[in-house]
Amino acid sequence: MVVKKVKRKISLNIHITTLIITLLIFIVGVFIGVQIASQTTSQIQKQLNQMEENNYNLQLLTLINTSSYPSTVLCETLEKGVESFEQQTFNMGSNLQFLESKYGSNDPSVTSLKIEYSTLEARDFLLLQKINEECGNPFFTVGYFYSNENCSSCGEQGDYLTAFRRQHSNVMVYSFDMDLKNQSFEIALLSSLYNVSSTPTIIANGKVLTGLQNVQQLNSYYS
Amino acid sequence: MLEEVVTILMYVIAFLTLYITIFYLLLTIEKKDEIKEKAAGVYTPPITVIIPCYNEEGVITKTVSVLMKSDYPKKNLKVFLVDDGSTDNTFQEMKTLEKKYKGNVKAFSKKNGGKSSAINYGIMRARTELIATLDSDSYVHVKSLKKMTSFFKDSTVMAATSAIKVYKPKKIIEKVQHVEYLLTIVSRRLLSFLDSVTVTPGPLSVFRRSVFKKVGLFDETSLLEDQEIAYRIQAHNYKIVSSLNASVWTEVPRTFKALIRQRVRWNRGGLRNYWKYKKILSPRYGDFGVIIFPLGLIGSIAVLAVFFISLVSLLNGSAFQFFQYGFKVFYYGFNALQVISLIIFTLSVLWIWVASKHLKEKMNPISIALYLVFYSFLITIFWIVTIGEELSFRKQRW
Repeated sequence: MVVKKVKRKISLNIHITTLIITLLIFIVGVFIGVQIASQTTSQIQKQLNQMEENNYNLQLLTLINTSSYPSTVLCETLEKGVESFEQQTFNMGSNLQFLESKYGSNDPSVTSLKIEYSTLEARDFLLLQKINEECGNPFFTVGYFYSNENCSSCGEQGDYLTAFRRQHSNVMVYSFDMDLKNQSFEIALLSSLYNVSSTPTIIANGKVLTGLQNVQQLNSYYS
Repeated sequence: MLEEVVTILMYVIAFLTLYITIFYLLLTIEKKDEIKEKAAGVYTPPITVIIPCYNEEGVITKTVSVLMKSDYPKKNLKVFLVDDGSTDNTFQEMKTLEKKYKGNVKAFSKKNGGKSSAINYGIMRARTELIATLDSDSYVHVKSLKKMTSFFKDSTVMAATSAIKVYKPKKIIEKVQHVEYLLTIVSRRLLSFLDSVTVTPGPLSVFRRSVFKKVGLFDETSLLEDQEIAYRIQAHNYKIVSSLNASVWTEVPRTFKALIRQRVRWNRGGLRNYWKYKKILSPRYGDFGVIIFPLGLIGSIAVLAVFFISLVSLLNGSAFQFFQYGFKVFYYGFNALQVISLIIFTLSVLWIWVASKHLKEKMNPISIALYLVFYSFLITIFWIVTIGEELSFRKQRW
């Protein structure tokens, strides 16, 4: 008995329709994804702008002549301002760190946000030195110069600083990415002001400490 | 560099998954009238149902009793019980059944040689136009045999597959398999429209006896003999059809360990069958050669790729971002890949909804949710164990 065999064919119509729909959905999906991502950066940009404004307000306060205004009231206001600003800075740092891990450190929008953030931190760091002078050193300031590219102990140093910051409520830590030195005037200024040439380098209340510093060592400078 | 390769790979996998989901959805919509089987008229030629058995004491009586309640004309129904060298009382039980259903049931005993050898033993002794293979733990619906044989009115049909369902699913693991089996019924029916049925399942399939003369008997060395024979029939360009309504209930693994053992056997057998029939990967085999046949292999590779990417992200810590960054992982971390994954998930749910319209049995929404959430994890586990066993060259039996 001769058995008829199956006539094989490719269902072109359905494949072409599938391909068109798939491409359309794929493009729309990518578009929506990119939109969401750009909204994320613009949202963070807004937060940064708000922080810049706060920083500017604090700067204005330091211009007030202490002789014509009770210094304790002024210092209390400044200290409160600095504490809330430090919390915002810390959150923003964590947001940017997340974005960096998500989109990569070479992503242009992440880099631009980071430069803006570092600039703000540098300004805040300088402002704090002034407040310390005016108000009798209420804060222990730490400037931390790190690098993502040429520093094997920077991760560890970051962990030590986080632990150190947790131990003392008046410790204010500001991190500066030395890889952005050429793009940020403020980082370049600070690094030349303190003669920073390697990473990690820590400026603990004005004292320059080069190389890895553990929590115990940091504590010895705190007292 | 590695990061870019992984990203591109993820997008390729997402694109292929999206393509397949839409392909199935469109096919289901296009064939919505054909999916429902129209009565092709009664066709009940002589048929031999072969039941291979190995240590099935206490099970085989139920299987045969249920089969003998079938509305198939008894004068045309032969049942061959082939004992594959059982070490328990299976053969004695078979002899009792032979006496009880004299003229219809015949018991055979042979030396142990594996499931395929037991089926082949039966095929070589059968003289009927049609031959059915039935697992010893599967229960045939009273009308199923008639429904399946009606396909053979068309002289081009060489094999027909049944609608396999889980027998009384109670435990969660059985309920999840219940959803899987029901969805497979619809997808196999759809595949038959593309001449792309990839398996003539052991629980119940019917063959025209002449097909074995054309393509040969079951491969006694195969770990997955019901897929091997289907690939061989396809490789010879013969027609396999699939039924939506010819129900057969089968026992499924009730423990996680047993399920892993079953699926690892399927995977290992499947890999060997792919290699054996790699020539099918060609436009000469139409839709079967360019999409359905490669789909299984690509799907498995994709599962493993996603697993290794997840493993890498687990090791480099990015999978723990939630603990480091909290909820911002979700609202700041949403990207294009996640949008596409969400679309694929939604379309899959849509397909399940469309497919379920064609099934008489209702699916429990909780079981569907469990199936959707856990099945990809389970498939990954099955493949990891498969690789482990392949690398350790462990032998496997039926």
